[in-house]
Amino acid sequence: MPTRPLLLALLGASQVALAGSTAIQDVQVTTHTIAEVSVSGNESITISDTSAHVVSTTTLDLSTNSTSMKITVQSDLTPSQPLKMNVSGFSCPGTPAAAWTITASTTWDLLTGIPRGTGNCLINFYVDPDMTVAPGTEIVRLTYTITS
Amino acid sequence: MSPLLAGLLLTLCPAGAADLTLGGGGAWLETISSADLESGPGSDLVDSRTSLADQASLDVWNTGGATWQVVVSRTDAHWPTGARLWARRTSAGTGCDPVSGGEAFQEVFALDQVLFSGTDDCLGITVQLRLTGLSLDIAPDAYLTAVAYRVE
Repeated sequence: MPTRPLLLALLGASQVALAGSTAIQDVQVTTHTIAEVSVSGNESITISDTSAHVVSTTTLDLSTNSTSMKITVQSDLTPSQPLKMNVSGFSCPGTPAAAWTITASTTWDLLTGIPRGTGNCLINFYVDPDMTVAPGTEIVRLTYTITS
Repeated sequence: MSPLLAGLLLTLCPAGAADLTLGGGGAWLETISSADLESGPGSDLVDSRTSLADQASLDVWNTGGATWQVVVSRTDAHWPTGARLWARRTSAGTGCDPVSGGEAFQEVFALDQVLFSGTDDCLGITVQLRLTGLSLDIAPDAYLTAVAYRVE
């Protein structure tokens, strides 16, 4: 019997036998887009004299695993409401938060160019007293949205 | 059979050329979402995820009563920078005497690492996996690596 074919046959048989010595297990990790924002709560501002006020500071927290995100803010203020309030932010990731004067139902890019990671912004609310406005209570809801 | 051929046969097909079969949970599929933030907005992802204790069940057989060891390695198809994979043995299986090592998590690399060793045929040795290094720095995507268990 020729030696070479037999050796090749033995080698082939060995490889088949050894093929059973390894097992493969896949590990798959699917990461969804994460873009979350929250604020610390409701703020109450009281106007009691004519001086300018830095009346309230709230915290805005965000988490995202995407780049170039932005946070928009929108009010539900109506044209008939006499409130005039300014909003600005600092200690934010990405572009420093721009100052915004709340007007009726407008949307404003509060923060842009947010990088991946976390952020804890401080949002300041400023109200300038207006002596032409009668005493009363005004409520405005601000909606913050993080989006691409 | 000539002595030469007999020697080659023993070399190529040794009595201890054991086989290994993978059972149990099989593939490990993990999904990362906003629910995995450590404490909601403003926080990062929980750093690690751990599979079921019996995510893999390994049968080592056809050992001929010999001593063997299982090595583990991984081949990345697409894997996020910073994420690390670990494995550990969570049971001794049945029929073998003894199985040793691998009870603490050890990192799985591209190169073979001995996970545990034993003697004789052994069924149902369970393995648990762990991911660490998860963070918001990992972009949204589907990532895949293949973990190879090999008996030798």
